[in-house]
Amino acid sequence: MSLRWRLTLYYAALSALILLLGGGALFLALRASLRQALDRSLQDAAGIAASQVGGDAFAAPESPNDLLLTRLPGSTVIRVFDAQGRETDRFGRPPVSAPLRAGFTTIGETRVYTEALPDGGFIQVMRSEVETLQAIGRTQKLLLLGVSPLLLLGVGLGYLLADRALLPVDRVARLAGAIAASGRYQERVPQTPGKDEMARLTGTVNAMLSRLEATIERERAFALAAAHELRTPLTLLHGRATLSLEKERTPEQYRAALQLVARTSQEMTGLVESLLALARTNQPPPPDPVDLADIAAEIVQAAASEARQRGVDVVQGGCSALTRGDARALQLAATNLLYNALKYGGKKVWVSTGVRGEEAFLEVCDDGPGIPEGELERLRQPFQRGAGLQGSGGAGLGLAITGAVAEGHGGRLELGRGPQGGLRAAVWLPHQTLML
Amino acid sequence: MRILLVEDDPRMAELVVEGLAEDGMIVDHAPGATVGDAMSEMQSYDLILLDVMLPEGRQAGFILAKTLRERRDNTPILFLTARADVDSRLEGLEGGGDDYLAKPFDFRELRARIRALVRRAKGGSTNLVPLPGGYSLDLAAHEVSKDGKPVSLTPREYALLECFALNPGRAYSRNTLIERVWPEESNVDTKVVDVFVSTVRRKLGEEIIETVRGTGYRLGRLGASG
Repeated sequence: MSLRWRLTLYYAALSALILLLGGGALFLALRASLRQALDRSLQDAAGIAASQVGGDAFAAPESPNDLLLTRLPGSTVIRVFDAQGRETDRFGRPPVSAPLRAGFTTIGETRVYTEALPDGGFIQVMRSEVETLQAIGRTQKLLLLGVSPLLLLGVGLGYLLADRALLPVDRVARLAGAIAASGRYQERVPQTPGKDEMARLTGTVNAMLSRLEATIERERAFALAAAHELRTPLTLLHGRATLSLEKERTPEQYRAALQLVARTSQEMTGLVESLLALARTNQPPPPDPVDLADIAAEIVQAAASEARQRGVDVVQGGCSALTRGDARALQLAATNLLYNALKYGGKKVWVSTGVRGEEAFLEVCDDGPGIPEGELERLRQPFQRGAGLQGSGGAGLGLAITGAVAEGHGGRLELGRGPQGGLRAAVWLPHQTLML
Repeated sequence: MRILLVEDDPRMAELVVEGLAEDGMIVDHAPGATVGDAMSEMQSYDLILLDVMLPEGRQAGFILAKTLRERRDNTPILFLTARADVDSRLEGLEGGGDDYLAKPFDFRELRARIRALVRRAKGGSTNLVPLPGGYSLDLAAHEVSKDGKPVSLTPREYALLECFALNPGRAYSRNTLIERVWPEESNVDTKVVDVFVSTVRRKLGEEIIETVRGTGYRLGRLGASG
């Protein structure tokens, strides 16, 4: 069932309840009021009659006129009894006989009021209730007749109201549906002006679409860049292989070609591994305790032979820096920084860890030429290499992976100029004081 | 034929130079757009192979093509790039490029496209270029033939003839010919050119190459009787 009809039904049920309760209360109040009026009138009549007991008022004998009088609507019959219960006087002809007990009673359609007299006798006043009952019955009928059209009117108005309120929602839903069906995530629903719920809804939907668009565009750009990066080694592999096969070659030429194929495919493996590592940074890291100082020690040791080959002196220092996260991912992030420094830095590299304020850090500094201020932001993006480094082995993913790992751990990657003039790359992560 | 390759990846450049050299093409390599620009100004090439993403920028190849055309340099340009999407191809072709080949490519296709672009630029429509004396030069087969019968020539003799055939009417100095025919050798004596010219004349007839006094040599007049 549509929200529109559900709202209408709620509205109708509520209206019916209000009408029924209101009608019932009105009916009961009216009935009580009519009864009360009748009873008061009987009491008044009893009072007047009591003051006349023993007088001439009752002396007139029963006459045909009298009979007519008692039949007329609203006419009152009065009987007076002595202490023994014998009727001593009467006015009019009583339609019923009622027991002699002080108070009100109803016999048939006649309301009877009996009042005790000081001498032990009773005075009894009665009047037909037909008119009152008829008035009550008519009111009841009117109420019952009136409720159904009112209810119908309520349902109709309720539907109109719900429809009016939900019309803009429908429009937004239709547009959003069309966008979803076509996949044109660049489109937006028209922003409703003002500050009401509709403005909030359209604003939120558009903000969501913008966010999605940014994500999709980023992923697309990344996929394109990844494909482009894989294409270069593939071209090398394919070109070298087909060229070698074009004609008979010497064993040396075949060996050289195969060596290039082996080297290139190994590079491709590295590239694919890096892409996987970057994709994994989207997952939330486990909350395992990690000491950045341990990681620094491990990466320095692992890179020792590479550093020796390149003739770079690596110095490790600093103190314990506790954080939480995925030790393997953090190690990869730190390794990337160290290898960058080994490859593009100078002759000395410093790896240090520590805590500053609420943050733990691991930083790698070198005494190389550093990176110009304007280049730093670009190098954080995937597949970006420093000036003049195209085709120099690395895929340009190192800093992108490190940045993504740091952000995935609630931290950041900071690039700047080091104290020795080279590049200073630091990973800042939330500091964890309690280790359990 | 002499080709300029502008490519930043050294391994890629090595592969292309090697693959084209096997087909008798002489390839000069420029590692970036700036060097490529300078080289194309100093030397006239039969074709320029251009990568798009170069150290100078992600569009540096496209920009270089525009620069060349603005300089009224009509050397055929073949874009050789990993950017294979239609938008990139359109940008390359609309911006002065003559052809577009996406990596990875097949060497046979690359060579065929280079030949097609070069002969089209010289006004020909097949790989057969006419020579004086009823001979024709086959750019693909690297041979010269008359009435379907090939003439036996060494690769250098063929290269010399191809150089003349691709630019009929142009007079070449001996030094230019050395650059074109003996690109990898330094200190080639200009007399060697004279020796090769006379060998070719002996094989194909005197009128195949004309001597231009004070300058050097050029292709003989077409239609001259053999």
